[in-house]
Amino acid sequence: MAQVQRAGGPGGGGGLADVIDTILDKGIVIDAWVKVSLVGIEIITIQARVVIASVDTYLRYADAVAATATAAQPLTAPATA
Amino acid sequence: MTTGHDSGTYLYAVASGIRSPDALANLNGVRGGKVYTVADAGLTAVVSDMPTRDELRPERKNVAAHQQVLGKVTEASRVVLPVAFGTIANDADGIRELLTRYHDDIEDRLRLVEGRQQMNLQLTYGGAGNIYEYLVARDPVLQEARDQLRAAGDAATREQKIDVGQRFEAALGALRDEHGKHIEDILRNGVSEIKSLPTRTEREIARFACLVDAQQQAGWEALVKEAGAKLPDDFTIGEVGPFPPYDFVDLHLQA
Repeated sequence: MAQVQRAGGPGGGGGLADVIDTILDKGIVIDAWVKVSLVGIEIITIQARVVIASVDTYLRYADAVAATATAAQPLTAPATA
Repeated sequence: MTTGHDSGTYLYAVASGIRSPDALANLNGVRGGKVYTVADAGLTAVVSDMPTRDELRPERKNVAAHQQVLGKVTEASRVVLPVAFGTIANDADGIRELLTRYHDDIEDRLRLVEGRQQMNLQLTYGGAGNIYEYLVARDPVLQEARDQLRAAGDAATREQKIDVGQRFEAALGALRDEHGKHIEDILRNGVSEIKSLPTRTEREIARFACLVDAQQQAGWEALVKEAGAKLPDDFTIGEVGPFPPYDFVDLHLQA
């Protein structure tokens, strides 16, 4: 059974990233009036737009898969042995 | 530079049926500006003055001020359409023109969201290992691919790695489809609208925005529990909200 966690309402609970993700480019959007500077700000939304399926993503996945623990018949001795 | 030369008017929301204008009387918004309303064509915009129209950074204090005003407006009004963070008009007249020009579009949306609120839900992998461990442990094909990749070591080709990466992506996609569909099928019974939102990290398996009748909130919570009951222990459902219905406004206007 998956646990259910409640993270409060707007302005409370959820992290800044969650809130920004919700309010940044949603709701009524009025083109010429949007004055937001994202310079130097790390935002999950922005990351999600950048992390699209790409060769780099596949290579990163491959490295992460290669690093997974081998349950049976390890090819190399585990470092902690 | 002349005082007020490039001042602006920050726009938080368009509301209808503000019960008590007093509720907004002592409220300060972004950069401390006093919150007030601008009405035209039967619609009410909630605004505050800005010393400049310079770009705003989505810093905690600015975002919190925006959110706080929206929270108060939501409490005080029958129905609210939130405006995206950082929306600054030249002046109140510009906002009146906007309300007049887009009166019908705005009214349509107000009717759609009246009496409803947005709840967000995300399903995250929260097991002991990472999502790679989880998926590889359940997929013999991925295990074989991993073993071959390791055996090849530095001799592994770029193509071989891309192939493994694509297999992993497919396995993650299948997991997302399966669990996402499970959640959506159950929640659909208790929402006015449900939207699938893009996942943001590998650990995020599914994410939804739900438009829920305020009266049906308890029923919605029960459906979330029901969805969680049939998902594996390694996953966590996170609920955030209620929000004003940001994801269900869909109004893109030209000033």
